[in-house]
Amino acid sequence: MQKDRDCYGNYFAEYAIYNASWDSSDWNVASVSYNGMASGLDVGGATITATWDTEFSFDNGSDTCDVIQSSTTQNAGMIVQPPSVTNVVSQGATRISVSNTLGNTTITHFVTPKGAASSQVTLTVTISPNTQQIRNRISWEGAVESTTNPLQATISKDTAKKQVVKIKYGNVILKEFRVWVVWASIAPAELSIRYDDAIVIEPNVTGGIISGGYSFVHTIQPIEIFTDEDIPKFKGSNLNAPPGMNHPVTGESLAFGANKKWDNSRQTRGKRINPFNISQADTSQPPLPNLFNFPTDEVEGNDDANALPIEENNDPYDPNKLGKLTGLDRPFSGIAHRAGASNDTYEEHLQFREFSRLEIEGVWYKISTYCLWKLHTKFKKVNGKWINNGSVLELNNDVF
Amino acid sequence: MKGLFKLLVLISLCILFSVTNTLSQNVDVKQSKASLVLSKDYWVALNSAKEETKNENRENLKLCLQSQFFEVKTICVRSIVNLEGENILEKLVSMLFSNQIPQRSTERNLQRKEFNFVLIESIEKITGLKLLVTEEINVKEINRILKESRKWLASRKGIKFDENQFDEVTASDELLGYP
Repeated sequence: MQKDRDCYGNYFAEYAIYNASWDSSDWNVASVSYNGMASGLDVGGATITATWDTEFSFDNGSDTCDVIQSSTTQNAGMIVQPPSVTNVVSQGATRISVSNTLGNTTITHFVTPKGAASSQVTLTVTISPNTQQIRNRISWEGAVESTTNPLQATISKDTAKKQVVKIKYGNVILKEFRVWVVWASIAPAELSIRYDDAIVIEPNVTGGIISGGYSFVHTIQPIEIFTDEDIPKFKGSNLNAPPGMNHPVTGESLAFGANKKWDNSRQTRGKRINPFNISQADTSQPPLPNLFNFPTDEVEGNDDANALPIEENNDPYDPNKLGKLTGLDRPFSGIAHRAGASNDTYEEHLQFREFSRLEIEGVWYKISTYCLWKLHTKFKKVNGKWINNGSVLELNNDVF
Repeated sequence: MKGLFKLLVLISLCILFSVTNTLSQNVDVKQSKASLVLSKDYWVALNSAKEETKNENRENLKLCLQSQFFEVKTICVRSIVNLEGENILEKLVSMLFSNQIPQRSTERNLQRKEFNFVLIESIEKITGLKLLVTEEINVKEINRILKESRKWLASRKGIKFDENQFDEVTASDELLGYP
């Protein structure tokens, strides 16, 4: 708006300027239209200038006014602020709370076990202010932006990885994320079958005992989840007990099967093949139930009633075993020589699924495929003793 | 006179009933305490073992050596060694031999291995022998310790020690989880 005065200093009525020309000191930061509408283009500062023609009137001393053509310029500073990310939600991964974040806590972490082929993690952010113009300038780095919603992007989770994801406004990073797709591979090493003629039930009761099993090394990927500075806090004790009630054979509570957030565990099923009705009292104690199956909950380790160091090492932060969990199991079956008659047979089939699990924000997830193995102990009574009759230790769950 | 006799008989019967009843109650109390030591409830058995230790009840402490819980047996072994000394040695040696039965539960197997040390230390305390010569124990060491303990026992009894008459532990280190 402009307000003119006559030669004598009297004001005329105020009027709008329509013919001003507009300019920006930095057209990368701010543009201005022909009618003076300034728009932020990038984060930074710019000066918007309006220039218009004016007439300067003055009394020339002869009772007349002289008019000089001139122009007027007005400046206005403009600072373009980036939008802020006010929230982010995920599908297909668990968001890690700030209290469970190590290092730079402005980075938001998401963790998920590896999924099936083509499975994805979807991140959706909320920004403020949220205008179409701003959304037009949003871009993602490290994730595939949705074709329909620039505030949404996806990351594949079909392989273990650390994915650095950034959402940007122009060249400015609005927020940084880490998407951790974790997975463990399990390598077994055989603890071969052996036969012992030893005390089996009580001091005066000897029998045949067949044992065998495997030791396991679980290698967790990506290794950066242990070595980076900015990581989810998975070191230390678990918050919640893993699922499950009691061990099917020993009756021990499965609640103590994990003592850390990373855990190696095992499921078991078993059955007795007992054509000659050998009494359970004449077998190793506690006796094997006639039949029990794998748990239906894939995260339950029903053969994992404790996390004793002799059987499990669940500290993948140990510099000597970085990123690794170790475990072993050497089950056995025994039968007293006093039981049965010559040529009787007796079998105990034990089958196992070795797996890794991780507690993410209080919820347990399976983070490996099952490593299958079995010990089928087969006895035959010969010359008054139960001997090994072709017991099987193999990496499969065939022929239960 | 007849009435007086009847009265005496009645008084006698009352006294007899009273004595029998007291005896019966005593027996019940003893059985009750014994069953607590062997309770299948861990906490009941543990508290009972502590109580028997406090009361120095030798019979129940001996009974307690049959407990299914290694922690309970540990309390009772340590207590009875102090009370019985050499008299309990044979039992302890026998327990060391029978403690070499593999357990299906890893935790119980670990407890069983720890219990070896409780027994060996108790035998050392009674005999004055230095039996534990390595930190790690295995079947060979167990058999050596059994042999030395039995030899010591035989000498105390004044009998000739014949190692062939005693059983050795035949289970393997792998089966028993020894290194």
